Amino acid sequence: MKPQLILALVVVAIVAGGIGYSAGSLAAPPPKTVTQTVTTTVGGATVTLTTTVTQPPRTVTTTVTAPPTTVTVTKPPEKIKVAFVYVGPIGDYGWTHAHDVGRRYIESQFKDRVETYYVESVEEPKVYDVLKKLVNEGYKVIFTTSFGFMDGTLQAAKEFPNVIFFHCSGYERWSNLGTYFADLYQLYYLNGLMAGALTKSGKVGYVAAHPIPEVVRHIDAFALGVKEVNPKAKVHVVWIHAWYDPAKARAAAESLIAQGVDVLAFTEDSPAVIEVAQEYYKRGTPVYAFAHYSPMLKFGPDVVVSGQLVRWESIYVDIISKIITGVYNTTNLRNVDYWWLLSENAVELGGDFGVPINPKFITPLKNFKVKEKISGTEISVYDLVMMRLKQMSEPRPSFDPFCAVNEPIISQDGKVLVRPGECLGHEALWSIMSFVDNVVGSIPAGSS
Amino acid sequence: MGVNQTTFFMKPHGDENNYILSVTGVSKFFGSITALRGVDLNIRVGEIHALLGENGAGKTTLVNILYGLYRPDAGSIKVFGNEVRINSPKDAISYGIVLVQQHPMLIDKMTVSENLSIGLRSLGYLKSPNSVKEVIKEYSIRYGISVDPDITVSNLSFSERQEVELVRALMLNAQLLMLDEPTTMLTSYERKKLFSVLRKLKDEGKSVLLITHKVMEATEISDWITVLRKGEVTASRPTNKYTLDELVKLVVSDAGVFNGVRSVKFDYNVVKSQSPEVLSIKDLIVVNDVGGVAVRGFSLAVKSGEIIGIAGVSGNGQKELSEAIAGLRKVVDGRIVICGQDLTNKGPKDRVKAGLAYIPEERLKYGVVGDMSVAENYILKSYGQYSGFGLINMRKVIEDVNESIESFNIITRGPLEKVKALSGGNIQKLIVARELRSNPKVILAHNPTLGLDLRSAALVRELFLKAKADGAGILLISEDLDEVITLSDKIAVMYKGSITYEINKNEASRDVLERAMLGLLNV
Amino acid sequence: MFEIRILRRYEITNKLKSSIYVASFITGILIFALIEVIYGANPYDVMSKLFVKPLTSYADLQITIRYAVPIGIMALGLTLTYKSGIYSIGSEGQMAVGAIFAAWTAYAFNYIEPPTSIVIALLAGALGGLLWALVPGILKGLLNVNEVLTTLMFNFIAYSLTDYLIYGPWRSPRAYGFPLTEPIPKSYVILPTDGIPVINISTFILSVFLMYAIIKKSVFGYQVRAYGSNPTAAKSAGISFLKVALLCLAISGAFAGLAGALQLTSVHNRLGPKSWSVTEGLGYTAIVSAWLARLEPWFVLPSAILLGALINGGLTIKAVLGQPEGVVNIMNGVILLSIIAADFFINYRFVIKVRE
Repeated sequence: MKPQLILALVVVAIVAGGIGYSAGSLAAPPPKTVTQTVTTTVGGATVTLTTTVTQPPRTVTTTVTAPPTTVTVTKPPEKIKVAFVYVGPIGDYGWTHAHDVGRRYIESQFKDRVETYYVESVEEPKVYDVLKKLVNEGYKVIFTTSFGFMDGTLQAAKEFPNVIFFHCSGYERWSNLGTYFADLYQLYYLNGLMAGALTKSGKVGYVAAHPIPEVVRHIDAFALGVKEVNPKAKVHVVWIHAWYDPAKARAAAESLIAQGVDVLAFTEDSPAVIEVAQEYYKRGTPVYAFAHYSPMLKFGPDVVVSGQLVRWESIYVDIISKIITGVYNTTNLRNVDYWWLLSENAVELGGDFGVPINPKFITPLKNFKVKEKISGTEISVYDLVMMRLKQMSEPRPSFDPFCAVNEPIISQDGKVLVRPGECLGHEALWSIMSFVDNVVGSIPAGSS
Repeated sequence: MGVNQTTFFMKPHGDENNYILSVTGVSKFFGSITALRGVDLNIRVGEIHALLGENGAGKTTLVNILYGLYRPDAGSIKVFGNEVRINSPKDAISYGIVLVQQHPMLIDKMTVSENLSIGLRSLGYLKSPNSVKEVIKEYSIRYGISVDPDITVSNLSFSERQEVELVRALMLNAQLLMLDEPTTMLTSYERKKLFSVLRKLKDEGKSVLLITHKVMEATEISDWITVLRKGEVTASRPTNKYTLDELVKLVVSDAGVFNGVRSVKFDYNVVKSQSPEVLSIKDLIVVNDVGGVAVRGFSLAVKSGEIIGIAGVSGNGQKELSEAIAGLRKVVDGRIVICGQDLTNKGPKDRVKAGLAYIPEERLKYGVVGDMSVAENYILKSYGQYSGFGLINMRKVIEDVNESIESFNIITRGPLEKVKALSGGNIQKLIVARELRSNPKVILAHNPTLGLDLRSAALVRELFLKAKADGAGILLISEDLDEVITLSDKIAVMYKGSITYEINKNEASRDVLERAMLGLLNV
Repeated sequence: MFEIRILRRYEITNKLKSSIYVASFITGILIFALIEVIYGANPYDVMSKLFVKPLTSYADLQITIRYAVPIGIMALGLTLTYKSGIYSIGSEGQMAVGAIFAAWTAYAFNYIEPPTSIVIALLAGALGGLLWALVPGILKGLLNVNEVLTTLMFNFIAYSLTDYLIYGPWRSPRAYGFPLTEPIPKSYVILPTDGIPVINISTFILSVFLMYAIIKKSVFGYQVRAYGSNPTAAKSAGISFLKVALLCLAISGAFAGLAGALQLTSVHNRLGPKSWSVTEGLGYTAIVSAWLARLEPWFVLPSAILLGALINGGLTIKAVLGQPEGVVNIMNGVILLSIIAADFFINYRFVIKVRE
């Protein structure tokens, strides 16, 4: 074929495409607001939202004699286009999967009001470009679900003031950018209580991802739980410097076991640690473990005691409801920061949904008696866990692991972290970077 | 695929005087350059046909057309009177036309039989290494080819590689063997051996097309000579119908310039004893690539205005010696002094600065950068002179190059043509032009006229004599005994890494030197 | 009977060559359109969003530019080293160190105002990349240590250096313990002029001219080309290998460092962990760009834009068309392979013969 002919074909193709594109992007009719009632069920509680919006008076100037009229129009509402930007694939069975469960939940709960969409496996530095494309496609509410998306989301929020953004796990906010997070530290504390009761060697292990406040906070909460029932036991920490690396997690778990550890908790997005524990159990060396983030009971039915589970849908339902009702708009999100815990039903105790403690372990936990630190009465660890779970699940929790009761909480280097009668607040927990005194290991600075 | 060549040749029809190949009116143009115009060529069965011409006369273009590498712009090709289209070497082979490559593509780490087996298989001729061995044995009896099928190719000399290539051609059932400048890299003994093989092939009824620029060679072996000059055939008749003078005139386009090498008029004034030494080599020891001692205790001095020739059978340390002098090979022991400076352990750059010009043997490897242009190669050793503010003044370079292209008669499409597109002789002219232009004090030349046509060789030799008259000292390492005898003031024979025999120009004879080269004479 | 034969081409005109490239590219797009049809998408919709929109929508074009500029600048540096026969894959690490140097400049001299601040940040970035490339350069030039290994190792060391800084001394006290540095001062942030990233684009274009001059016009470029195509001849002409190796790696390092500084000041504005770092792996993409451009500085312009467009297209496939990551890989593969396949048609031709 002659080059000129090819060139002509390309030009024709481009021109045709351009015309088609312009034709397709002719503006859609403007949205109308309406009277609307939304009823939804969230984790057992029924939320009813009612909004009535009347259109402003419209002046008709074509006829002099006609009086001004007020028109109220009721018609099916426009669906809000909601997009989710994920860092991993939805099939990761961990972080992204948990968020996608939340997305599907709001899609089913708000069928008539929202339509959802997701973009998976977005590389973190490229999030701004993805957001630009989503805004261009007409998405009005966008959730970005990785800490690394923070700067890009903030930049997009500033550039597109008519779009609502929510960023998970970050701290940067703007008038149209809110933040949210469901934290697991209370569950780690409860896991710690059980670990302290189950360890025979007095050595409890923790396979840790990255040395950032979130992980440090979880290690501390876990260690506080261990200490409460077993003051002599120590928590040994090994860093693997990865969120997802089954091979490293496995190696770390095995090295901890070699040091005499017989109970393991971890922060890593695979069931590798649990599989190691199950293997040791099968070989006749019982090692117990706590599931992390997703239902992992099935990977170690003999060794998973309990674990930490998340219910992002609680937060998503709350945010979407408030957007639909107009509570949240593009101007008032500067101080909207979700920090949801047990009392908001955003997290759940257990190795699987509905199984707070593996029945296999109920008897040993019931047989392990300790002195409750506030009342001083003797109580089994099983009852202690259930009591604490209830206390922390109340709308106004009557217990928090980071509140020092009679004795101060001491850090590894001997400093007082929390004085008796005081608690660590959200801000302090959010940026905590020191270990409590029964942790063995250090927080590395300057390596990853 | 393809025609079964055996049956094809069994039934020749349309026989015109039994021509195995008949080329009529073939023309080939490269842009505005005419490479061939209206060329006719007829080769009979059982004939050794010489295609004679200078570098750049169009010989290689014609071969490439016959071998399907280029397509002719006009004209026809007939095989036994049948018009054929040759689109690829595979086509050519299917008609029984095989080119014996000048630089055989062989895999160094494999044995001869493995190489042949692979090479044939890729062309659809299934042959196992064992059957190849059988064939080689048969050929060694029939034609006197003496390659060991089990030897690794890296151990073969150039002429042995050529024999391997010849065997390959015969195994492909070649009826017409084309050899492009086959004797360029051969010693006189090897050349004689090759010619005897060719004669035996001819006796078996095969045809040979010998492409050469050497008049003597053409008259020595061929039955018929076709002379090509500037892309056109100037004569084509049986060899015995030419006289030598006539042939030379037919080959050289501007015969007036050419007077024969020996008649160049120059002062052979004896070097004055007080002339300064420009190159002095003392007790030099150099090892070759595999760690063997190649140069052992070599000492020599070259004075200004003197040419010292080093004769010897190749492989006696000449390559390592020249590389050591040029600074490309580490010296184990001894000293190299150029113009009073001890440069034994200095790199090539310092030697160039001290006034050394180097005309290497393997010109494509050491002499030029094939992918760069004529102009860029021209300044390879003097780019500093053409630079200002770190940039190269290409305009000035091209001016100078054009001058040299003209005065050295370098045949090229222009200063921006890539060097690898030039013929071997023209590359050598370019190298000589480059090396001599800075008026060097010492010229190290290794086989400087190898592969050059008569006129180019004469020009190079003339330039050496001119440089000598200007006071340069020249170390001429050459396998061409006539050249050494003609040019040198003193001749040294190198045998097994050191000088075994020395003789003055007036006393030298071919006979004596040849014996010395074989190690039969000592100082 | 038909017989198809593949024959080697010995001559080819430039016109035919370029039309083969264009035709291959278009074939690649058509093959991808066909795959989209099989996938069940509307090919017209896909093609208009992938190939027409980036030309008609300015916002979309910007995304292409944001990737094309750093890829192109690094590819230019690599063009030089590859021409010398040195196969550096170290742009990624040099880019990271360039960003570190630029960041240090920004923190240390936060009182300097633009445009001086921007200029020194970019120069510091170039210096950083240069120094980072120098070690493999010295090892190669003096000891002939394989540069592929050393430059790759230095990429990892550069990541670790960044990690050391963000987890250690440069960790921002206001980032709640997260491994982030402080944002660089406002005076060091390159903002687009009227929405056009003028500084980025002009830096790229200037780099093209600069590299063209280095390779084609300068004495050093001459030495590099001679060395790259025939080291033996270059050596016997007295060209120093140490000089060629050292300078080539240093210059390509400087280009990569410049790209890093540019990305830091115009896109990322601070250093963070590897997964969302300044480099984004673009240092490796630049290798593709350099080879795609056949090591010709001018051709880096289209090759970098093509690779930027492919990254952009990948985001479009995921974010706009809602297709999975796999489709992105198919698009990259099909289009790049088609362009590479052009070489086959440049070197060979098909002859169809009819036989009885």
